[in-house]
Amino acid sequence: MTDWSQIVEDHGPIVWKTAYRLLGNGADAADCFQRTFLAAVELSRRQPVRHWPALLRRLATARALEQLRVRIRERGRQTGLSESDSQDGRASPLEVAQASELAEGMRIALGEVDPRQAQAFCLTQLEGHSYDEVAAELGVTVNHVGVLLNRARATLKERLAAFAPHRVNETKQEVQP
Amino acid sequence: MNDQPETKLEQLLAQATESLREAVSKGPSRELIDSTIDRLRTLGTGSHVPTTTPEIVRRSQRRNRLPRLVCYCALSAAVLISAFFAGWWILLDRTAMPAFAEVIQQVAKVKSVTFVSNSTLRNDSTKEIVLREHVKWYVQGQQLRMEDTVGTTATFADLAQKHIGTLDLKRKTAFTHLLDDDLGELFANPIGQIQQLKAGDAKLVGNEVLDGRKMQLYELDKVDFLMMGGKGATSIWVDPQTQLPVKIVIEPKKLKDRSVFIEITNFDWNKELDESLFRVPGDYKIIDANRWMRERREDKPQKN
Repeated sequence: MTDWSQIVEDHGPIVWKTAYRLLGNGADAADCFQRTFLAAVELSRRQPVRHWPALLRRLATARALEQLRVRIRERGRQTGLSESDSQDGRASPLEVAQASELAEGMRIALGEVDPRQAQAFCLTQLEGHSYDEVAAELGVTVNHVGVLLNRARATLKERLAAFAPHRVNETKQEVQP
Repeated sequence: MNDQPETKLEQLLAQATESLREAVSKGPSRELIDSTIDRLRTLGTGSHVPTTTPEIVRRSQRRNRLPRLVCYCALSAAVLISAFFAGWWILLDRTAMPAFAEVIQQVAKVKSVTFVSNSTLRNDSTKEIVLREHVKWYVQGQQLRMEDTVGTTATFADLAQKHIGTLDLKRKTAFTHLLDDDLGELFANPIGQIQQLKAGDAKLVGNEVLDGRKMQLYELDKVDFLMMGGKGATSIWVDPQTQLPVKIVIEPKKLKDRSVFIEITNFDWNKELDESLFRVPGDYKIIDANRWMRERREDKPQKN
């Protein structure tokens, strides 16, 4: 019988860290946190779990990426800054905006990347999983992980290139007198 | 995309990845852990796993939107109040050049005004637009109101009473602030700095056609004020018939590694404004934001 109380206590911080990193605010991270454990319950009924931290990181990453994609779909209807620990009341709002700028751009980009590519990227680059581990977690070969990563990097760079000066200059002309 | 050097993009991706790695927070709250455990226990041996968001999360979502809203409005207020008072106090400065004297006199007689400000915060190194806001302003005496143009939030302030309120128009919630707390610095310091400005640099540059009408263009150089932290340029277009501004542009050279560009247009002078614009509507829930933010800071762990 799985002791879920102990699993949540022991591995909750790992799940929270993964979720918060990708989602950037407490509310979404809390949502992801609970969805991750609900998914873990479902998965544990189908197969034995050998390594809880790895499984929970993978599930949390997948749930967080799902939420990112939903957020992007709703982006046109919402505005707001992500939270960060620099937002402690002493940092100015400007500093908060600066600190969260790049991370938020990356979150948007990840939400627009193919789900499997995004998951491969997050697990290796953010969670520190090896290619072998990711291959086992995603059910693909190690070579396929490399392909997914290369494609993810190319797409992310393309999305991040929205920071390119020529595009900004076009925008600037719209607002200047 | 092809004109982007690959190394620059690689660097950008590396920085963005690092920024996510560093986006850490203290662990999950005790409340979240307990509610998750309770939720999992109630699943028992049943085969169905509910996919709906538990109530604890929905409450958490509502609660956690508050700091984002407060921060968002504080940024708006800091930048835009700066913009407004820059123009306002400069115009009221009696040491301005004679050509500007009549404009100053007319502005001093004004009882109320509405206008729209467009502010853009730009990253100087990447040239990326970090933040862009369009805000409708209402000013009457010492009372101000700012509304975002999408109709989600509004901030009003009574500078005489040193009181600020931020309204969540959709959820009918009001966050009230006092100017003598952390947020107060954002409001008080800019005003204090503006009062020390010298408007002797104002000069008539010439005439410029705006919307088919010839306007007088004044420029104020070497303006050092507010969060701008250095030299900047302020341009003011004045209607020669009314001697009142029709457009103000503030373009400081540098703000750390950011630049702020602020354009103020759509002036409507001496329009009678309803007092209810500057109050919390009766059916709104009121939250003391000063106390709320203080409690939130006390909850945070100390960093080594």
